[in-house]
Amino acid sequence: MIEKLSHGEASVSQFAERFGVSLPTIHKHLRVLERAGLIRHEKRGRVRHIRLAQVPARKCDNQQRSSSIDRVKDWLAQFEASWDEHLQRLKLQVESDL
Amino acid sequence: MKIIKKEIVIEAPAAKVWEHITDAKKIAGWFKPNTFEARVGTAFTIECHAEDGKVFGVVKEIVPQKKLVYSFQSKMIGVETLVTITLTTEGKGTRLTLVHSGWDALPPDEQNISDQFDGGWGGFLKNLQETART
Repeated sequence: MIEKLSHGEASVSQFAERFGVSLPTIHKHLRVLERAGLIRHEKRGRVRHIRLAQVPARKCDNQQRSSSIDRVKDWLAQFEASWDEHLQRLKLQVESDL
Repeated sequence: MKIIKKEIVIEAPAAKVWEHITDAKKIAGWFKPNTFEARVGTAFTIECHAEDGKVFGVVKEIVPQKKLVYSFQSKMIGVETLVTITLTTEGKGTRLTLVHSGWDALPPDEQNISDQFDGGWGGFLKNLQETART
């Protein structure tokens, strides 16, 4: 399912057809994936469209970019914190070496 | 322009601080095990957290007891960043200023993004395969 979604969004009935299972079965699977935060759905008219939540298809470049920016912010915060810690250790180390 | 800037005053002369930021064994004491060598153009590695892998650096500039510049790159960072450490005498102590710059080049190129997602999603999807199969 995820592999299929990595090529772009799909409707629930396209999924059921692709995997040769009933609509209730496919709904059950999709609920599991959605609860895990891996997919999102959007209802347009009577059709429910499914797409990946975090790794979007190519046309969703902007979304991909923003999630990578979030990751970068996390790294920066980690680096900030880790430099603080390292420099405190450096200070103690140098001052005890006099 | 995003930079990380840290300042700390160390109660020791600049010469002493310099030893601790340029000697591999001493660097290991406050940072991580490394292969640092204080010679411009020399490449070195620093052991970091398992998830980050190694940090790769090259010494870019040395002004003894005053300034040390090296590049800083890892698989997680994805781009070459720059660490600049300057020492200035302040009374009997030394003010150490560390600037970690070069983050502007981020977000990493598409290749890197997909690599990172690949790795992250790999394990995630494996668990999910089981769940989704039921």
